[in-house]
Amino acid sequence: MLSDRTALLIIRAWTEQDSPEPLRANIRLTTDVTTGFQRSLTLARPDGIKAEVDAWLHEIQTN
Amino acid sequence: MNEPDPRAGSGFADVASIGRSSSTSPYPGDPGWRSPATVGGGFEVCVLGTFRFRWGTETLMAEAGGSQRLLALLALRDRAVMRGAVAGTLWPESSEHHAHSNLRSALSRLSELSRDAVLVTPLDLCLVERVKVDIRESRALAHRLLDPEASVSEADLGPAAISVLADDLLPDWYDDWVLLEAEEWRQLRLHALEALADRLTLHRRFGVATAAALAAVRIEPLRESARATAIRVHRAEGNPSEALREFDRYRTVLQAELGLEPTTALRDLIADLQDR
Repeated sequence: MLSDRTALLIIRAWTEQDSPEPLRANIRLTTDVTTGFQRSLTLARPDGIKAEVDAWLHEIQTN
Repeated sequence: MNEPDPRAGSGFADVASIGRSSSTSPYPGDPGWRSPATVGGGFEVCVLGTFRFRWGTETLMAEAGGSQRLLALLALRDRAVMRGAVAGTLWPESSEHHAHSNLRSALSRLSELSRDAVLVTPLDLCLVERVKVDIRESRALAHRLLDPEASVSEADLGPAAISVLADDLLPDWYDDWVLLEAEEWRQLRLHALEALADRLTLHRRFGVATAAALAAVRIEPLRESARATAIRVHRAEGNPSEALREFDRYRTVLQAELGLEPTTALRDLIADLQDR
């Protein structure tokens, strides 16, 4: 059973062919599943996606 | 010994009141008991949108958490599932021993009525064949729409079909097995809505075609194929201005969210309209 302090991050990724930057990644995240998703955003660049994941991990560890 | 009536409760239709206020009762042994099969309504498990468990036209009191998740898992598996697989899926962080113990508890906590909906053997579990599950019908519709060889009914091409494809699977559940099923359903219905819009356009039923295309856009506003479908519908109906507006809306949100422009393929869809 999930604890109250379970964090969750879901990345849904797909590509849009013919686009100069074809990657699309929709991120939904929360640091506490009991409150539902706290943010939802879509990004197109791998470095931005990695930055969001790093920030989420940092928040879990510091809260 | 006075024990709490497990059927008592509030909120949804109280199972006990079903038996007392009507001429039928869902409880074997009660004077008005009739098998769900003979009553005609039968059981239904709904996993699209909020979880609901129905008997006939009545929404039954919510089962306890573990039992509710058990019913939902069996609803999503249209075949018998080994007990070990059920236990491991529902309690992945427990030891095998504790997971099996949790499963036994969940089965014992099913209401007397709910037990009629689940077939339990020493090896496996499944929903009784007559239990209706909403997503099974929705999936079947989606596959018919996506198969160009499949015959589709008038109902498959009507507004009700859009409603059937509109809902997320258990949107407020975060179990791993639910998330995977939900993503699979999401993709299936996105493709099905686009296929529905294309079919309706061929039949010159532009109103419903537009509704289907825009339903796909609402699910994923940054999905270009959904926008392309909407633009094709507008063009087929003879509304170039609507087609251009749809393109502009997509370009605006794409620029705002990602700092990108639509693909060449999408631009080509409206290129001749912009030259006018």
